[in-house]
Amino acid sequence: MGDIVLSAGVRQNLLSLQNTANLMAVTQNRLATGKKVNTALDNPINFFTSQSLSNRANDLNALLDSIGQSQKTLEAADKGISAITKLVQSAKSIAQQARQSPAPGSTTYSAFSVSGDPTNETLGTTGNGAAITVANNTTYSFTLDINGAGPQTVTYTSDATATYAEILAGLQASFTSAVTASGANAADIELVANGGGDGLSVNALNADIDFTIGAGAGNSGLTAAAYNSTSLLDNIGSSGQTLTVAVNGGANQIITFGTGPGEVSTLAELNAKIATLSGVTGSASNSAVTLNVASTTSVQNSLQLTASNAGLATALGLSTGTTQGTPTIGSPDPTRASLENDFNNVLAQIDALTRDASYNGVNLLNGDTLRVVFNEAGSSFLNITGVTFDSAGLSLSPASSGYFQANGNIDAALASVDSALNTLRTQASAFGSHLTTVQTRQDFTKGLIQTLQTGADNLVLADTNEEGANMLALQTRQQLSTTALSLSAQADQAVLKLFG
Amino acid sequence: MALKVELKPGERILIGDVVITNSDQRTRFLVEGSAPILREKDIMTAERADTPAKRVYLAIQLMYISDDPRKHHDVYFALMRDIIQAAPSAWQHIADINNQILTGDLYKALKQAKKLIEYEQELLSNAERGPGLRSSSKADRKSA
Repeated sequence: MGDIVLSAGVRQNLLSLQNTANLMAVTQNRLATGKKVNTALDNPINFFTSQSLSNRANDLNALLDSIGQSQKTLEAADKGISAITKLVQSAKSIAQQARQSPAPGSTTYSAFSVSGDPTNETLGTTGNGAAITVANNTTYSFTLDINGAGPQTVTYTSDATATYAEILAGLQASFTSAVTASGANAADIELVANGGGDGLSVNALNADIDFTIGAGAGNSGLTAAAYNSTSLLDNIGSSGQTLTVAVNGGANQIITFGTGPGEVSTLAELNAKIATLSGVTGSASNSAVTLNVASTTSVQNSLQLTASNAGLATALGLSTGTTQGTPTIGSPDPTRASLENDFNNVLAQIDALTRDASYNGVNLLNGDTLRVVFNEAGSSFLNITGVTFDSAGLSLSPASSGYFQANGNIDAALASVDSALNTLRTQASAFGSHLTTVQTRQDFTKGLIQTLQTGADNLVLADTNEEGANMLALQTRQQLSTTALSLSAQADQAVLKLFG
Repeated sequence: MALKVELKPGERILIGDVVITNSDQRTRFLVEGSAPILREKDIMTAERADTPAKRVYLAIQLMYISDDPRKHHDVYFALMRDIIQAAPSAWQHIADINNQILTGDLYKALKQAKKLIEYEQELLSNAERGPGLRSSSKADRKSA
């Protein structure tokens, strides 16, 4: 056929039909998907607004996941601190129990002696003199010089009926005077018969005595010579040396060796001097020089000897330096020992718990830090610094063996437990407030996502006239809605009512 | 950073959870710290909140001055949903408000909410004036 010419009326009907067919297709599409806006061509503004709502919801979902992880990390740290606090409290009660257990017996320190073999003293002696010839009316004499004081004459003249005993007694009487005249006394030097044979013997009794027998009538039977004693002072070799004695850490007691008043020159004098020392007993003789220190309880006993020169130390035979008694520890209380073990076990549990308080690889109780990001740009965030809360981080050190036996040690442990509890409390409240902040943001983000997702599907209009009408309708509707009611109720509770 | 506040005689200001009323002389003072601060002119009371956008402003204000903002989140979402459904073109304003709340800066969110109130005012006055030829609206078109 050729051209088909349509009249104006037919053309109009045709266009109407085509429009209707179009509208039917669109409506059927909408009914099928349930969405009013399916493609950008339907309603560009709505479509892109809806798209941006969906995209925003997706972005926020991703953010929500990471905020949720941070929240769980904070919760793990918070729970960790609660558990550690309970453990520290049980450590405190263990230590308190130990404190109330009976303390162990005190340590005793043994008695001890310091002794040595001194260089021997010798006493001067003439030995046995030759027998004297007993004759009547004869003068017997000799001179005696004690310590260089000058020769004194010892003399006796026998009578008509001379006997040895009589001569001896007479000479002894004269001897006594001579000794006194020399400034010595009977304890220092003696004149005796020699055992058997009728002779004489002059003996020094004191190591300080040196004497010289001079020739007299020559009939005393004694040999003229110098008879010297060797005293302790001679053995030392010099005057003025000192021995310093300190007992149990007390004040120094000084013995000076010499010939002045209060000074010691012989072992006999040393013996007497030792008796005057406080805190030590002892003796001095040729066989030994001994110093004894008694045993003590709870406090270490000790003896410190210092000789001013080597000659003194050798002469006394004593080794210088400090000597101490051996300690015997009172038997440890078994309750305290077992509580000490329990205490250390609790500390080990705290360490294990700290290591386990991590979530997703971040452990806020083991020094890690957490950064919580609240928006996609990363410009809104919260930095949470971790702490180290193992037993070392809380300044709790395990008790060494026998530590809990002493009350002072337990008190120190209790003090550090208390300060650990304070640290935990402070940190728990800091983490608690971070947790609230993160939870608030998280709740808001969740609510927003839901709203966006609902909004994206329910867009209705783009026409501003219609929007205005909708807003008016909404305004009226809201006056009766529960939303407005709860809003007013919340406003009433706030300080806003002061503004009236 | 300190905030400089100047109060006219008799003007009131909310700081934290107290209301301070000025006496009969102009006063100037500095406020430091993180407590919420709202001048009298920025405060929306429940009586004055009679439109949807003003109610949104009130909800945000409650979040700002409250110690537990979570109590007010549900109300805020409900109000926001209503507005988006009624007037999707307001979405950009709503998005700005949400961003500020997400960042945690509720004071800036209040400022954005003020803009929403102005936009709403525009819509409502359009509707009240009824249809007519204006440069911003589409004319009815009939098919040829």
